[in-house]
Amino acid sequence: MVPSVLLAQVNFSALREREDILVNLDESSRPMIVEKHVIPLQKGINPVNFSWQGVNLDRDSIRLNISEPSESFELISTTYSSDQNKLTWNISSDKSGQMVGYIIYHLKNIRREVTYNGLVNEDEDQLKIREEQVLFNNSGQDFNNAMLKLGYGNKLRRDWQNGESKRFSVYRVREVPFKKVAVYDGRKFSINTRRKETELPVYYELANSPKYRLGTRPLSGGKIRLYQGENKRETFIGEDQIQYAPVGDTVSIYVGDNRNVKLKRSLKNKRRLNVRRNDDGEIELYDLERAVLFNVENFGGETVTLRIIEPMPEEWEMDSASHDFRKINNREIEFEFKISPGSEEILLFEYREKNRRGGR
Amino acid sequence: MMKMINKVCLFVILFFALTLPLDARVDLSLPARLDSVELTVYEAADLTYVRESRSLTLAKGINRLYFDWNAAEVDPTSVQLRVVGSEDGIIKKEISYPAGTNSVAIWELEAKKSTAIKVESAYFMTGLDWRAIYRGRLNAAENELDLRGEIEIANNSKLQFKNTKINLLMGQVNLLDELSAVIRNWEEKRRRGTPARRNQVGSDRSKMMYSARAMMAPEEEPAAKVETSQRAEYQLLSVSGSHNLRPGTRKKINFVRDKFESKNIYRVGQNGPADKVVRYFSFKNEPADGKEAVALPAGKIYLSRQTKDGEYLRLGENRMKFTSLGEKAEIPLGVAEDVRVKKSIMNRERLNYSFDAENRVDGWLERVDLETEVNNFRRLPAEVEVYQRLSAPAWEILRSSHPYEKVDHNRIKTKLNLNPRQNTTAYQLIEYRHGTRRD
Repeated sequence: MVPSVLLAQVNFSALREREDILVNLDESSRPMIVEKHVIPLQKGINPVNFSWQGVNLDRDSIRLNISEPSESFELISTTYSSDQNKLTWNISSDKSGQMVGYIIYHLKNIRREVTYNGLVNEDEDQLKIREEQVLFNNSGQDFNNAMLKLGYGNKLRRDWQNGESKRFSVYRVREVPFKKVAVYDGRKFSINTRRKETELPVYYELANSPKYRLGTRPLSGGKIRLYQGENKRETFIGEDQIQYAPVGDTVSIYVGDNRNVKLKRSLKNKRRLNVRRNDDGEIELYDLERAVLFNVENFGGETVTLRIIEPMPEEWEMDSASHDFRKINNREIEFEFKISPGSEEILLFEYREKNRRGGR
Repeated sequence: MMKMINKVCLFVILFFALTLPLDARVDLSLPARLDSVELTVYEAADLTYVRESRSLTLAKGINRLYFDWNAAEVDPTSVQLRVVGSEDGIIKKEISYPAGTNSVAIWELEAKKSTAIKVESAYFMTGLDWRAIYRGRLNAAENELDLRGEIEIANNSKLQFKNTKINLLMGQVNLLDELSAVIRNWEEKRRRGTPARRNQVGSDRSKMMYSARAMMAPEEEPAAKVETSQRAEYQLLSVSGSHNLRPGTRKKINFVRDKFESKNIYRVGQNGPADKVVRYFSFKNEPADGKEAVALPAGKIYLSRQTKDGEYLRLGENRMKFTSLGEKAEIPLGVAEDVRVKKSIMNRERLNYSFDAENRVDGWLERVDLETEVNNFRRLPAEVEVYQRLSAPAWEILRSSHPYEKVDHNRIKTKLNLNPRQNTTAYQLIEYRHGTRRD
């Protein structure tokens, strides 16, 4: 039986003459390529071959979108040949003419990474943040005059050859305020190591919000390298990994340990109170009073904000505390205070752990 | 103009055959003049931050600055370029890393007109490190320390640095990966598009640096003025003058020569066995002659003492921790043989028993007479600190022959100052409350 429609063919060489190409790196793990083609078609069913060689293309992701004029052309079927690197679209056309089509597919071995550079001012209360994107192309494909879409509205038109990497600066914000805080986190120490002298990790804390001159877009996860200007000389002062921060989220950057503040924790007192015994003389219930002392000395030349997080028992009552504290939850409390240069600060608090069971 | 033997070069590509692949290009390049080099060598990592200042003239239009670090181990992700001064009429476009090589970066700058500019390029490299070594001499009375500190800088890279300003960074900066791992990872990503396994900081590479270095005799240099910039997390030592660092060599720079008041402290029972006396050598980082102090980086200290006949006797060596300005340094010198402490329980008495309803003992008091005999066999005075752990949670010191200090809930410290060759004995009467007597 002879088909009633004419068969036409547009060979691949015509398809390579793409009008435009977009490399969409919004989703860095699955870059999407959009090729714009103007395809001449004849009236009837037109088989359009698409094949590839030497590129890492995700075959299942390939699709054809007919853009204009869509009422004249219709994608009837897609035929996958036994050749793994080829497929054929059968397009029905009610007249001879040109069709604008977009071939969309995912390409493997293209990567986009986000890194940040942070320049800290002399007073150490503001950051200049620069986001850079690094692109790796090992896909096997060259992109000439391609539109590179880098997320959050950043677009650049560039040549990008296979094997070539590129680095772009895409987002800069000046004078981002931050809070610098040294943290003693008692949760990270065992009972035995808590009393040892320890160096204190220091964090820059900020939020991805307008208050911090940010908050216009999410911050992608990536490495941040910090530099500090000193008499117009920049010094690299460390790096950390920023986690993805949506608008409104907080960002905490670890910048090293404070070596000028020496902190010693000691348990100054521990005694039982309100002991209740049973008829056999065994203890049924009692309270345990503890006095915890932190001795903090600042040998440095700058005021340090120190946060102390202390793990607590399940049921407790504070009897006295030399400094204000905040209850994080029933098992953790937090003190925060400033220590002037060359000074010593004593934090002492007494609490009762209530209703302990058993004992002798 | 400074010069390096191996290539870390910046060129302005004036004519660049863009359409040809990199290995077949025809180009004409002019080297940019190197005006100055400044190194910041990090203490706790195989990391050096290099900053170079260069002069060049941009042509109108697109200029490609070609940066090549053949033979050096440079982190490509760290390479930065900054135009010094006004950037008017200059648009920084991007950095490209061409295919087929892992040691080239190309900056693209667009200039609205031909203009002479200064640029500062900066990058991280491996191969340089430094350490501090101290030699301390005590006077015969052991109350004054003459401390000399040297900094030894080793250049294990293949680069030669001439007339270079050197900064040393004290402190452990946070690094997510060792620099050599970052470089390998970059090459792997460019080759395959997938990251290599991460190699965390602290692997053996940095530790191997000293054993693997070329053991040429270090070049001694006269004392350099060292300026310290004090930050809480790091201190920057800026060595005065310009220095030459040849590949495979070490250089020593004297940076501290000061006198400090010092003393010996003999401790027993603080850490380790209760009957061993450990000698600590201590001094406060405040020079006795009123000179301006510098923070002392961590390093090995060799201690000796002047004898009666003017010779020096080796006392010992140990590692000294980083010491801030005004902070007290304490260096353990091992078990002391010439100061002895003997603790004895001279009497133990249990009393005030209480009984429960079935006449079983449920509480009592215990009184312990503790005698601590201290012998100073030295010809010098000795400050002795005796730590005593209390064996039960409820206790009270009823009597003490010497003042004592509560260290924490179950330890006290008694301080004794002994004259030369003096023996003394401290007594303490301790009462423990057991059972219901604790209530």
